[in-house]
Amino acid sequence: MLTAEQILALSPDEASAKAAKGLLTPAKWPTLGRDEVSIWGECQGSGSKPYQVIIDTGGPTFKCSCPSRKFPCKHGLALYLLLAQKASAFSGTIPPPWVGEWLSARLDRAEKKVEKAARSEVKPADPEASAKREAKRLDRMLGGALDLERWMADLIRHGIADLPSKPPSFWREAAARLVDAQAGGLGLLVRELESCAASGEGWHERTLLQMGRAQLLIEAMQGLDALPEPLRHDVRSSAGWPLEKEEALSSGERVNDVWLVLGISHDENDRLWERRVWLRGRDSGRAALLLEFSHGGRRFDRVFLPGACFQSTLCFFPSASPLRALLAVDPVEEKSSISSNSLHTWDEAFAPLAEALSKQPFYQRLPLKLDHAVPVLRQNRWLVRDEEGREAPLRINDDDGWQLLALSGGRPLNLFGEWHGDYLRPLSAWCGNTVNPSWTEVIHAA
Amino acid sequence: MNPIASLANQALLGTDRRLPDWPALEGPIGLVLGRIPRDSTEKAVLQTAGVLATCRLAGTLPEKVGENPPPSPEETTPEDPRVDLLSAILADGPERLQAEAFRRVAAHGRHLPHRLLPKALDCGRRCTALRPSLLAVLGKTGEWLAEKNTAWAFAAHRVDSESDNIAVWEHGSLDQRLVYVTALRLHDPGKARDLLIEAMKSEGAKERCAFLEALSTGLSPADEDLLEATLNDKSKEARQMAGRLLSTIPGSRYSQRMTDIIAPLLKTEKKLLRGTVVSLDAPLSYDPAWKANLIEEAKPKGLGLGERAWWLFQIVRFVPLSWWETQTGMTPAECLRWAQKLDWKDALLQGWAEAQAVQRRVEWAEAFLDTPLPSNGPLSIFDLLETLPPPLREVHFLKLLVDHQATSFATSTLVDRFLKGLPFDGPSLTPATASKVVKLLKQRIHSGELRHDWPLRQSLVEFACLLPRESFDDFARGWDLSKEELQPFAEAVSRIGIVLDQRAQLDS
Repeated sequence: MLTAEQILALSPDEASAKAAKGLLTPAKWPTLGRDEVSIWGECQGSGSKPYQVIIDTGGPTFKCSCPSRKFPCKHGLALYLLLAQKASAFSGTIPPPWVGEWLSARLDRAEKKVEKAARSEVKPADPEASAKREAKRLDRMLGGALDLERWMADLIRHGIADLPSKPPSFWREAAARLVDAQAGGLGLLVRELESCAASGEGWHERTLLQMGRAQLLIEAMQGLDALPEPLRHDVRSSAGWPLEKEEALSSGERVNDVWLVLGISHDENDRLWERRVWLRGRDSGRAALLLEFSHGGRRFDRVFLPGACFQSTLCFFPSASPLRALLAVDPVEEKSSISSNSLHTWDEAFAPLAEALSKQPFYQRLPLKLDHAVPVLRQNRWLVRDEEGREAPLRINDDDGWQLLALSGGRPLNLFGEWHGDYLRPLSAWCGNTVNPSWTEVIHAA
Repeated sequence: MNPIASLANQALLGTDRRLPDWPALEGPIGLVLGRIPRDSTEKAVLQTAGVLATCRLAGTLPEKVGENPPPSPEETTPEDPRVDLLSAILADGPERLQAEAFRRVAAHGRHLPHRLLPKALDCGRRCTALRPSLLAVLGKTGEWLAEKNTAWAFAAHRVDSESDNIAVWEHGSLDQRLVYVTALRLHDPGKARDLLIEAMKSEGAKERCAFLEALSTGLSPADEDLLEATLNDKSKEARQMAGRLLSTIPGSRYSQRMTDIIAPLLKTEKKLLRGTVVSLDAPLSYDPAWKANLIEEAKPKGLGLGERAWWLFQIVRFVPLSWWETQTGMTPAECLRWAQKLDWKDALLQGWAEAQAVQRRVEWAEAFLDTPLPSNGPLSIFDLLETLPPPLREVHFLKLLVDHQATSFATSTLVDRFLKGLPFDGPSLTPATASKVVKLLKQRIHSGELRHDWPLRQSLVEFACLLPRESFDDFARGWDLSKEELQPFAEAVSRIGIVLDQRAQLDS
């Protein structure tokens, strides 16, 4: 069972959440029922036939017969909200046939998917042709990289003082050239330079350092053949050509564990949504990242909730310090909560990051957990303070900042977020030993 | 200077103008830097920056900045566990429901869940009427938090020291000074009066009027001298304000003078066969001495009254309404009926209406509600409603709703204005009135006659906050949503259901 707030967080956009709230009257629902695994209801829409809505609570997974392309749609959200608000209205206990049909059809599909995956694994590839294709693309990417190197060298030669006053087109064009060269990762670095240049006091240090990191990546691309195998993958994917999911699934390292969802971040860029689900394995202690993209809206196949645990096998993308992973098998919800190790100082919290960076220096963001984190507001800046009184900047919007401050009351809480090099972007916070986080970042469109 | 800062400063200028001073570092980092070829200066700068960036990233250690800001004091009350319910009410509930929620939390001796504090404080910032109930459930953390945000200053420093406050009076804006002096009137009316007497000497006309209005809080005979003095104020508005206030002080010298003027004009005669006949005449001529009592000789242009009626009107409006009852032996309702038959009825009714607007007498309000009011007069039916105590008020509200045709007000306006006049912490409607109002509203909505009353959709939801428990089911159910006429109200019906549900949950 989710709380109303968690349910609303699943909404693909504000409009859906608002529309769902308008459906919260039992009068609109001629049928309402639930059992251990599912919730169902029929919602009277504008047509004569009511929409059939089903929620598999395990995921949760939503299904609705309405034509909306939103996922979950307002009916699914409303059904779940109604249960959270008025459980007594759910009188049905035996699922009607259409519920059973969907649940079993879903099971079938999952099995077929496994079969299909098994079949596709045996599909023989033409190694020669693919090597040729790969060489051609890497060549193009390298061309883009050298172009970027000249562009940066030019800036260094003439001085970077006027970068903050450059028009957006200056950066957009530079990034677009890299996208044309199929090196979108380098393009992102250029956009990162743009935000460094606009970051206020100390911008010139941050900009220069970011240029330096781009330079290292360019050189790694030049000397790609000399690098050890896993690092080659890191360079390739940092430059903008990660392995296809199928390739990763067939070649990546598999780890079976109970995974705790530490936090989730959403980012929007030109209507492309990125979702990062940060995990940590109970037994392996491994950090993992499920990265997914969705165009247009926040529509992702699977729902994850911070604080929840699931049992599954993850398949890691090859890397010198593996982080990004895929679900190799469907996750199974795990009730047990995971007690975490306690990281009270920045020294302790940064140790895993230093370790990862020493093997894979191109990471732009890494997961960071601090278990003695005091949010502080100093001269209108949000900071977080460890047990030793060291303070690092937070990247947080004001509404979220106030809520975090209210929750802490100036006392330490457990904070998880992404370390972006200069600041921590907090994603979830726990006060005390609860499974559900007391706070999670509110999702904002760009 | 650290090597990164110095390299970045040089990068600002550009290597064309000046070659960089290469950082000299000991240890492994220095070794790596030493291996960077210098044949291309620009590339060497970028590479050096890259090495330093990576090392800095891997070796991040934030700095110690200052003292730990003091945490909030420990709470002395338990936290209310109903986070979801309260959160939904704060996010979407009408303000009246929010106030009810705060009162319920306080009734349990609890404070708000900490996570809801920013939202609750924002609600209080936007709606001053919410503040009293909100302040009671902020808890220690809420007060601690409010001090950190200027937008929430209303909730911080609640126990101000005397000196802070007087600084507000001396240096604050007019609004702040009014808030201060009005609050002071409640605790120490004499001291507030002394401050006002001082201020009246030096302030402009607008300020003087505002200060006089502040005096109406806790008005007593002790304020008479100040008001008497103000009858000579340079500003006409201030003089009028003083007259109005004096007319509400029982037995004030001013109201005595006014009754002395009106008394000879009222005649009671015993007549054969007709019993006692009461008659009223208007003054025959203007007495220049009246000027000091705010009675003007020349009537304003365009006024629908004659000269004598104008003088009568000006006297009547400052005569205590109770005087008429004692002199004529009639009830307010009888007075109004009597007035209808008089030659001077327009002047008298308008004078009484102005007097009632200031004196706010319950019996007169009721009487007026049963009488057609002079249009554009100083009294609206809503002012009259607000004069009544809640049980009487709802009876008249129901009456207005039943004959809404007579008032030409939209149903939503009636409901809204009725709601607006009721304080957030007032009682619910009585079950009897509530069930009648609910029945009436539902029947009219189902008939389709309110289909175009758009604001009603909002008003209904707020109205749900005023219902007693007994009417919850009645109002939440029985809406035939399949009817075409109800489509515009579908969302409102859904919200009504939610609000009533939330109110029921608050109770449990």
